[in-house]
Amino acid sequence: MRVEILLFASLRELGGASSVAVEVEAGATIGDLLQAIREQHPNLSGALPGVRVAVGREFGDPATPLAPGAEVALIPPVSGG
Amino acid sequence: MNTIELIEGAIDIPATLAKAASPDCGALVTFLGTVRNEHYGRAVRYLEYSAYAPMALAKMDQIASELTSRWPITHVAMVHRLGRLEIGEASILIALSLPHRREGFDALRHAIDTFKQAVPIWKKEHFEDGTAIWVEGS
Repeated sequence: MRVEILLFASLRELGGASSVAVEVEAGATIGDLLQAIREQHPNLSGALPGVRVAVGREFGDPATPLAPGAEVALIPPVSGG
Repeated sequence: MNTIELIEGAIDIPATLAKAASPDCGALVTFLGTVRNEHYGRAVRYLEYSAYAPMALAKMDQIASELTSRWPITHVAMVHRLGRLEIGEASILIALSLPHRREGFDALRHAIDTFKQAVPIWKKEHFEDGTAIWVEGS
């Protein structure tokens, strides 16, 4: 399935877009998604360490499944406040 | 009813404090974060904040719920400014109304510490020499 991933801050500048798309197998997890990004968007791979993934606007871990249709975003280390 | 906002333009501090204040509370503990003119020895000209707004607001709501469940807080005001901020301007205001000050300070520290870990907002520092970097982590 195709997953549209929202990008912010440094990743948005690196990717030159507010989102990127990747293809993953049905039933894929966040860990699978990160591997797919490394393969399909190598320009982003160097920036992935330290980045969290949000699914449905909630932080997930590598085992979290990508619910079909859920909003997916890459969250670089935050610096608000 | 809490006050949870992401705004463009200056934070209206008196209006926000007025919303957070409560007649049955003796403390309105307040944290105001402001833009500092240097970072690691480099002169900062201005800052730019951006957010993943829907998730940031959801996280701010979660923090407010946690605060009111752990402490006897009557009102949580949590306002973060986005866009360009000049030196000295306020980026965040957190104000909590409680009956007594002592536990208010604990709650306030928890609020800002949690905010800085969990809310997807990012700061870009623009330096006097014309360069700029996204700050990662805080």
